[in-house]
Amino acid sequence: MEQIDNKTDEELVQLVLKNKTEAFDILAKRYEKKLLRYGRRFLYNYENIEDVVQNVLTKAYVNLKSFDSSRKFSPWIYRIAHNEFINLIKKEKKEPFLFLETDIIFSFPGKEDFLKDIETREKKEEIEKYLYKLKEKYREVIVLHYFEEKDYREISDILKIPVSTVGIRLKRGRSEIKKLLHEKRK
Amino acid sequence: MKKENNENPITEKVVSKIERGELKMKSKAYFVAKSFLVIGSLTLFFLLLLYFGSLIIFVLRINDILLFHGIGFYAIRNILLSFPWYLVFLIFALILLISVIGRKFQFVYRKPFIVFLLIVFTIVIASSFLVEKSSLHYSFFRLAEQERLPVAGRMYRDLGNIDIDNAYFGVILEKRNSQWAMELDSGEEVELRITEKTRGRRLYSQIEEGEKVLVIGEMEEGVIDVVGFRTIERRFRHNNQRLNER
Repeated sequence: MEQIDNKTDEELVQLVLKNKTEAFDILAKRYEKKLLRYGRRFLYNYENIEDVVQNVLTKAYVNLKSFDSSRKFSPWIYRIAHNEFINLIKKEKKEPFLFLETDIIFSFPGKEDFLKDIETREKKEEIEKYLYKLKEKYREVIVLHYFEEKDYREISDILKIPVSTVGIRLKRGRSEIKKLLHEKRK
Repeated sequence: MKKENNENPITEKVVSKIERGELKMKSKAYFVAKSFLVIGSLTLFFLLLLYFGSLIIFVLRINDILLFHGIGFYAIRNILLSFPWYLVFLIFALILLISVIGRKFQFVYRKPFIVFLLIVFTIVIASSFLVEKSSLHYSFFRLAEQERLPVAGRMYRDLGNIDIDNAYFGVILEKRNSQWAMELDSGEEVELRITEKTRGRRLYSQIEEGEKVLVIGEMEEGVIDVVGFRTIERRFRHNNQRLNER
């Protein structure tokens, strides 16, 4: 019999839906650390990230029947996490939050092929040092792309923003970090 | 202080809540109902968009506003001042609502917002022309004029009879140098005074007695100081089959 640990996220969801709680245990364990890491990098100046992640896992379980099994589970749970993190930002008002940013309204891919442009020369540790200096909207895509290793389409699904906007935000976030690195080296 | 040995304390908390029966999954029916609500609202808002979009085209046609092109800024200004802008605002509000609700769907949020707006706008304009071709608004307007349309009757009467300032439809009765006689659609006889301010004065020689015209200008004591004019084949409402059918 195939080990339950070897099953994909989507297969585990199907088992949870058949009332196999141990499948949710495995699923939650797979994501607990990832979500904590995402939360701590994105919300570096907030406390209670653990509580928020607990809410994320709780909501994932409660709303599991809304998961579309033809899609990937990862963007779905990251979407819940994103919503919870944004709720925390709105609640504590430490950072300005805009409902509709101009880069969502007007976002057209430029000459650069953003989908292929995933290479970076900056080391992750160096990027991480400057994450907190970035605006929330740039910080989040950088965290998702470089630290959570999500591709552009997955980030588009998590944040519910156009794929081209993901590219633009990554590019701007990267150039902000490059600027900060350059200033430091001077 | 007790040290936490568990590598996944959050998972443990959530799973133990599930096992104790404190956490329950929402039923599939709940999500199906939610989806129906979302799709139902989107359909309703889209139908409302088509209704108001075609209503604007109806207003433009029935009030002969489309005949005002080419007679100067003064005419455009008067149209802008008399136009029922609340219909346009309603359309924008509905498009915005559709865009916000629609962002739930991948094919909407993956596109730039402006692209989605343009797509909706194009579909609405094209479909509104098709809806306007039907007898819907014309039947409502007829019923409204006969005081047989209970809820929207007043709206249709108002929209079907927009009074554009200083615009007069009628027939040229007589041409006498710079002062002509004209019979308005209301039956009133007025004089037209051609002055330096009149736009396209040289075209006046081409107008013949008995021709139907649209004249723009201020009227005082039965005399209109003509600012702009144009000849018209016929007024839309006078010979429109959809307005006269039973």
